[in-house]
Amino acid sequence: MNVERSVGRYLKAFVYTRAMLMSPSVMSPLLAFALLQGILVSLWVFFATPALAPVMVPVVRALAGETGLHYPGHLTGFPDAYRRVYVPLVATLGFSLWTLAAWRMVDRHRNGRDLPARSLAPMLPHVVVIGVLFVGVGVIAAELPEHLVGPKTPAMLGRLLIGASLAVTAVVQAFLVYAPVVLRVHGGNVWSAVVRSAACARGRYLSSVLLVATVLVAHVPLDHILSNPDKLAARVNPELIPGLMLVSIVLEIFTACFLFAGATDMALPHEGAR
Amino acid sequence: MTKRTATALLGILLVTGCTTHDDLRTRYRLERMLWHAQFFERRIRTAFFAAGESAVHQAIAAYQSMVAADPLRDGAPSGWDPDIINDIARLEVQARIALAQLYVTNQRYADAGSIYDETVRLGSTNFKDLLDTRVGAARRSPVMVDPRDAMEQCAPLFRDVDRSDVFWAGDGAIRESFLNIPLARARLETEERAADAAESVDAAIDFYTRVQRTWPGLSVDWQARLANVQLLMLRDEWAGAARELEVILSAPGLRTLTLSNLEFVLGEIYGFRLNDPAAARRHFESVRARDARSAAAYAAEYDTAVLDLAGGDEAAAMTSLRKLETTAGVPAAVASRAMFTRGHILDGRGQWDDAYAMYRRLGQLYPFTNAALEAPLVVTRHYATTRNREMLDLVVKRARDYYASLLGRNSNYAGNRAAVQTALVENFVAAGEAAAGAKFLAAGDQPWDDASIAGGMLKAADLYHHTLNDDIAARTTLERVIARFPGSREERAARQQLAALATSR
Repeated sequence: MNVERSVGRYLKAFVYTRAMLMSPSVMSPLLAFALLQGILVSLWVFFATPALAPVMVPVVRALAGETGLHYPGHLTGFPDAYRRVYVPLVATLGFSLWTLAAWRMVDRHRNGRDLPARSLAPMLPHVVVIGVLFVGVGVIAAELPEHLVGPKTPAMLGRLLIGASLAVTAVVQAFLVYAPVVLRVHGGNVWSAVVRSAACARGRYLSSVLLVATVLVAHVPLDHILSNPDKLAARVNPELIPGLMLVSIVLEIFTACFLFAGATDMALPHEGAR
Repeated sequence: MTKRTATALLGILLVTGCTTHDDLRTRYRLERMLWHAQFFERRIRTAFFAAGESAVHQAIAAYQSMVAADPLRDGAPSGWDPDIINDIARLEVQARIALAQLYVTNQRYADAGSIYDETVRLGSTNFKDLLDTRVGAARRSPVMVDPRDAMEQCAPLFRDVDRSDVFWAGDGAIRESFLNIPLARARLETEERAADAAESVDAAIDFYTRVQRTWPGLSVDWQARLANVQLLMLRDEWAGAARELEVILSAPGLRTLTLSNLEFVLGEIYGFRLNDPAAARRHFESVRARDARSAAAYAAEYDTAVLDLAGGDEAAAMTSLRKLETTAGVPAAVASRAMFTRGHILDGRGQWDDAYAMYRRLGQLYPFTNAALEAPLVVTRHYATTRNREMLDLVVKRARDYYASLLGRNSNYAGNRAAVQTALVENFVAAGEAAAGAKFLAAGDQPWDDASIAGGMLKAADLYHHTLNDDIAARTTLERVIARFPGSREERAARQQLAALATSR
């Protein structure tokens, strides 16, 4: 493994991301998903307004229980309730929109612009399955430390377990991160996309893991703060919780762009050569 | 998902949630208002001086808007969930109690009274909540405000309780803070020499006697007996107080600590009020025999030394006092008082240098005790009397630095800062430097907390008016307090003093 080359490839991902951030057609699916999330956050925050209450009160009750109908329980319970909506949403719609952005990145790449056109619509079922796999890995890896860490677990051990779960997520997701690009280049089904993605990752494993790990680590500080909403509400202000969630959504625009721009840039010379 | 499924889902959602949820929305809005009001209040509690008056005003405004928004003022709207109505009523009572307490802190007694009356009139609260409102208000009063205002708080509270069938029909589980209110009221009125102080003491004794009769054998019975002892002491009926204490002490099951503390008080009554040193010594000895290393035992040892001194046995007194100074574990209050008394004895013997050294050491070892507060004054008076200008300047400067260190914003001194300022002022006056003292305090540029600076400026105005006969300077100082601390207790005190100045001369 050539570390210098891997790091070089990883750093080049930043350059390509910068170019993609300037492209409206690439950014529009990412912004659309962020906008949708922003609307969901707003619906939750303003659930008690006369216009929203008839619809949102049963929703809040279903997702956060009776505590969710009280202040500040409504806001402190929001990160947990939102996670329940976010996970299926990001695995399906979110991943599909990210894939659309990835396909447009391929179309703008010097090694991809000559590829024949391909429609995403027929591939959507495969994209969704890959999305479920991709997000599922992260969810399962994140659940493990939550079950293992108890109130009596030493803080250092708790941090180590969280670090380990991030590492496991990065290691596994690195094999799947090229799947949207592979689908654009070769078409095919879930199985072939996963196999080709894994093969692609094997050739540039260190840079792939670094790419995924960067995205995961970028979200750690906010996720950590939002994992203690009660403390945040007591020490600062409960209204800060949705505010930080909006910041997290904005951050996700950039990290998703970085992840798939990096994956596109790393995969295309390899995939284009086939 | 087909269009039909989506329509069905939307339909279900709308049918289940077709109500407007006004009750729920109102509760949420009030909970949010309460949280934000409590946020301001927390800021006041955690950093009273740093938070300043603005936080108090913000908290008051927040609670006011919550009380004003009471949706149950004209009765609960029809169709609201009874559980949510109860929640809303509870939130409003919580806001009213907090608002009343903030009004009292801010000396807005009329407003606090209106909140009580309104709360009672609305009938939206139970007896316990009503008591909470008034107990909270009255309990803060003696600490934070003019005692006369506290008496105004205590009087209606006591009346409510005394006349309440709910109270007398209870099981006797009464909180101590509440049980103490008649006693607190009687004590305040006696200390303030109020016209109806004697009546308050009588009413309180009747109340506690009824408590004893209603719940005999319960802990409130013994608390009421103790309250009666204190009321007898207020009446200067020392023999009666001693008799009651003897009865309480003979009761089985009293904890050693309580027993020692009560017997110590009994010894002090015999020794210093009933002029029966023999009985006092017997009780002090009993306290020391029970647990020689308790705070009460050391205090009893100190009192025995004072009795020795009064009996002419100076040598025995000196030996005991020295022992108290050097024994490990003696409470700072007792050890410092022993040093102070020994300094006084040495001064009486003409050994001023030894006495001075003793006072200085006392200040260094126990700077936060009352004896240490008093010591600089004794020293200043000595050098003022002996006209030793050089030493007088030195000790006044040292005293000023010492008192300023207690009043500093970062000082660990937890005692009464007003008492420190009084000692500081007395020190200046004793040194014949009242003008310098007034100027120092009136400047208001010390690195103290706001309340201490404002208190110091008020004291300066007092010095200008009473000691220096300079009403112009007094008025200027008071006007500066008004301008600098708007909306504060000190501002109101300054306005009262200004009004008094206008009519006094």
